[in-house]
Amino acid sequence: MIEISIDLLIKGIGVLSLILAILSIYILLNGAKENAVSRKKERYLQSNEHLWYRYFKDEVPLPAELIPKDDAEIQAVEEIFFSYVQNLSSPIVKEKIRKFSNQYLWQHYLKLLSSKKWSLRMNALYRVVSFEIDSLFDECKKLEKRPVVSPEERYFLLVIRSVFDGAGFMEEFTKLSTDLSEYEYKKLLIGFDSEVLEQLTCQMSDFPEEYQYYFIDVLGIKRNLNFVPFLESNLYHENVEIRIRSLKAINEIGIVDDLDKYKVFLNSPIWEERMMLAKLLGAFPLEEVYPFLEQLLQDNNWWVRSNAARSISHSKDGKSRLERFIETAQDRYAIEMAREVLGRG
Amino acid sequence: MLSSEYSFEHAVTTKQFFNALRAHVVRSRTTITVVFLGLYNANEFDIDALPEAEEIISDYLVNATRKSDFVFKFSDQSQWFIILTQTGEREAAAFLRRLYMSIKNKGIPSLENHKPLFSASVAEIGNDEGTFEELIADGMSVLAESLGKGPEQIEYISTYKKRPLEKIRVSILEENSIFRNVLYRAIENLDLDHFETEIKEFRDGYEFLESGWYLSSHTHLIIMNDVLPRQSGLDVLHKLRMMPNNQKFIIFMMTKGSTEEDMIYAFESGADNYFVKPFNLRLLEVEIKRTFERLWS
Repeated sequence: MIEISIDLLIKGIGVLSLILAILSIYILLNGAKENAVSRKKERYLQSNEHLWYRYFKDEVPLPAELIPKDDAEIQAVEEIFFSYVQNLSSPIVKEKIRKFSNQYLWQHYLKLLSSKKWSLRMNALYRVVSFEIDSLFDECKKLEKRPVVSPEERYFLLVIRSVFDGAGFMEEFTKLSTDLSEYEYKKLLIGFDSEVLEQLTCQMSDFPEEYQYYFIDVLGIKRNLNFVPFLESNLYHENVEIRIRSLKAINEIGIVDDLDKYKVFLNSPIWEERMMLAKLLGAFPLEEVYPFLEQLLQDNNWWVRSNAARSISHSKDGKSRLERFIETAQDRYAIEMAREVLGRG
Repeated sequence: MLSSEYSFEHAVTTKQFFNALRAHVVRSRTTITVVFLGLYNANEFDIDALPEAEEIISDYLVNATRKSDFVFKFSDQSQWFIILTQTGEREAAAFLRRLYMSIKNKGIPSLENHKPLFSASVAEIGNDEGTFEELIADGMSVLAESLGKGPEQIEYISTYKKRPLEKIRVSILEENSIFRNVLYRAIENLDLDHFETEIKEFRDGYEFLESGWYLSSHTHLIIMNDVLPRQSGLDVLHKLRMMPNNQKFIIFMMTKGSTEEDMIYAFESGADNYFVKPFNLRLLEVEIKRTFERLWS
């Protein structure tokens, strides 16, 4: 049994109590400080939110009281700026935010960029992008050369490069290694104009394989008719994934005119291709494509049958065609699917 | 379609009939327009043949108007009182120009020997102020001016055109208080003819539904985000569209990241418009203005 003298025990308790007391005081002080910052921020918001609205609406020149005097007021200004840039798409407001940030906030973010704390650096990078603070571009480039750069920072540095140095960024774009996540890569691409994406279609084969997939997905998300010929040229690609994603992107764009280009997928051994065809056929007049849809409605894959039935039912007179199909068909699974789509359970 | 002599015997009926139509104007927000049409060259007609000619003209006017319009003839003058329902002053002027042109080019059947010429005064009715007698007096007086200027003239009476000021409720359902205030100020500063807005802000769907603010007969514009804490915009949309008389709600949805499928679903569920954030505030403002303008037809 370990023997501890009462004297030592009392001393130990005393030391622990002291540490606890110091910690409590620290927490209390910190809490009070945060409350003070929060109250100050609220005061700034209450007295200046309307002034910002008037300034953005060009009703008044920049009032001096809007210029933040400390961190709490900077936080309030950030909240206002984010509310505007995330909800409204006004070039005038954007330009005013850019100018103001470059003039009055850049020093604050410069300090954060050189911080040892990752979260503070990330906050600064996010704001450099959101408020387009181009005066900090060189500082951001220096950050790229640091020996340790986290993947999240690298992503934001790429976005910053794409925003402030479009031409230089495009040169580097094809050489990107695959350390960006699908979300990050797509987000980066979505920020590009359709013209830039059109230029990139010529270089797609040089991208890493995964990025080629994401690139095709983004063309679909952009819903630009000009991408259809490029996507159709991929329909005979040796890579199945590229074929399927191209079909998906064309379906997203929703414009198809030459049925012959797609007929090849009717008897494809890959069910995803047949399913995408079933979806795409919905864009054609039912009379023209019904025999193909009827074949797909009797496919051995549930997804193919389901999409074929939906394409038929969404077409004009589609519901009556499905009803006729139910009366005359033999395929039990196809009949069940037609019934399901018609809502007959 | 009705053609009748406007005489003392019929005056009360005509007046009651007109007043009933006018009472409907404000309730249905649909203007009617009254045309006072006068024969400019009555003196070119043989005095004995004039009554028969007037009858032929009355029939012609009845055929030239729609089934929902009404033609009355003043008994002692070669003048007509035409009520064009669901019609504004601009459409009435177009109708008159077509009429003048048609008579000029083809004449009126059974009146081959004469080509009648007309002038008119036009009064758009947008409110229920003023008496029938005042309208008749103004219409006849301006018609006299119009006839004095020559044939194929159109003069306008603006006294009865002014639409009454209508109170409209506006609700903004948005979680971000700064953006909510932006929307509030933008709508508050909108110059909406004939409409007075009563605006309220809500943080989420629950607060809105609990407030009972939507339980009124006012036309109610609701601008709301699809995603909201506690109760979403889509929940509110469903609840409102399930209510009887839900046509009074004009629902504009806002979204940050909805897919087209989500938007289609919202439209199918009764949304009237959809704005994808970030959107141009001017676009929202003009959409609101156009929506309110369309309330009157």
